[in-house]
Amino acid sequence: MVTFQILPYLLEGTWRALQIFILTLVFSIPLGIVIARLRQSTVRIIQLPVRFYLLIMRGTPLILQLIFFMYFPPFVLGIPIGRFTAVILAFSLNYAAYFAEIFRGGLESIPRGQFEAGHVLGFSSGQTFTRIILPQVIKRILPPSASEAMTLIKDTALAQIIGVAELFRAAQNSTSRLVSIEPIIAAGVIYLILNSLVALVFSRFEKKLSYYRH
Amino acid sequence: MPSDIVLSVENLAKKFGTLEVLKSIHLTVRRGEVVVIIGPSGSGKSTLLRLINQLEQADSGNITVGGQVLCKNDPQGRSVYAAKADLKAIQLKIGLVFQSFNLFPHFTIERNITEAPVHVLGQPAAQAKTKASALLHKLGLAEKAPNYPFQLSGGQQQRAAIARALALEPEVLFFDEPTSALDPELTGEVLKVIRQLAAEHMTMVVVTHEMAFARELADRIIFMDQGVIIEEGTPEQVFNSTHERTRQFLRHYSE
Repeated sequence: MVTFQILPYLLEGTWRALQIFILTLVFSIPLGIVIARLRQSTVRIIQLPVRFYLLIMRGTPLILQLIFFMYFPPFVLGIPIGRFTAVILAFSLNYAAYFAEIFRGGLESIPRGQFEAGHVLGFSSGQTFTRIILPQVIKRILPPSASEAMTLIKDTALAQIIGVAELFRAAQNSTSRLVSIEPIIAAGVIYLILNSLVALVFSRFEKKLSYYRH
Repeated sequence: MPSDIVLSVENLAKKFGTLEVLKSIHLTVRRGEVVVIIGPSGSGKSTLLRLINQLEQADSGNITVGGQVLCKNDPQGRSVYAAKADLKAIQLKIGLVFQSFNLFPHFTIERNITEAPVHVLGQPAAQAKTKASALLHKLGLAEKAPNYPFQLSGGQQQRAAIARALALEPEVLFFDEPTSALDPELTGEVLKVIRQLAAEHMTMVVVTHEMAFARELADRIIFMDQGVIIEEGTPEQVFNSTHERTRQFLRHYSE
């Protein structure tokens, strides 16, 4: 079994993948909420750029966006950027687009009456949003968000295209060095374990919010 | 006595696109009065309530709530609204009970009632809870405080929604077809609560299709059709109206 020899190396890659995963969620979810609200604006000069952004982010391959964020800032804008920073930038902007649309779907599924009840009871629109609307939106968007998070675990493998040594790169390197398919299989098992955990966390969360129905 | 007037609406008009939903509406409500608004669907009854409750914006006309001006015509005849801080103060003088209850599903019944007193009025939680419990007791929902809205029947949900509105001690309570989503049995329990409030001289404006109820409870009935008030008067006057449109409308209920 070569897997045991290379396990530390694979775990190092796993840690890198997890860093990408966590930082992307940390940045893309709040950004997604903001974008969703801007997307709902009836002001055209706000809505149109947001729609353009959503189209670009969802309409072009993430792998292309990674390469773009690696080379565009240093060579065109003259701003030096690290590989890892480029990865986090590309992933966060890309996932924010998807989260924004999931979030908007959730927001639009809340009956108007909830907003109206908030207003009539004297809540400010900010209070109505945070106290009344947001908790209900979160419950509704958990299933699609879980899928998105699981996709993100797998997408971290794309970071290797600009030379970030995450799990997939580590496994691929080992496979060619040792002429064995084992590292790739081991990586597959690790992705599966990570996503089982993601699925578990989300289903726990869903269960926690199952105390009420809409 | 002008201080007696809690709501005054003058020349109110509202269009949705080209459709004139309300045309030059005048309405005055005195303290302790129960005003019932009847009329066919699309007559503008709900829109009138929604304008007074700031859920829609008036095109033109004046609305004064408890002596405070909500909106007033400018020289061009367009409604100009009060400053944001005033809008909130004005809204807190009135309450609205919706056809679809609109309880907050993620809060218990108790929290539905205490949330606004605590977070809007800044009442201490204990005080808000005592009040909520008194209101629930009064409306026959004492044991429902820890339940969530989905665990209640429609009639219980609507009563809880009434308790939620009452917790803010409004000067006027508006009801927008409060029983239209309920079967006759559940309608009865909600009407009983409204009757109880009327007996306590709560000022109320009720939009309803329950004619027997309107007749029994109203100090004044307003009949609306196609965005205008066709006529208004005591139940006696309106139910024995000589106005053709009123008679035609009421005939559907006596058949």
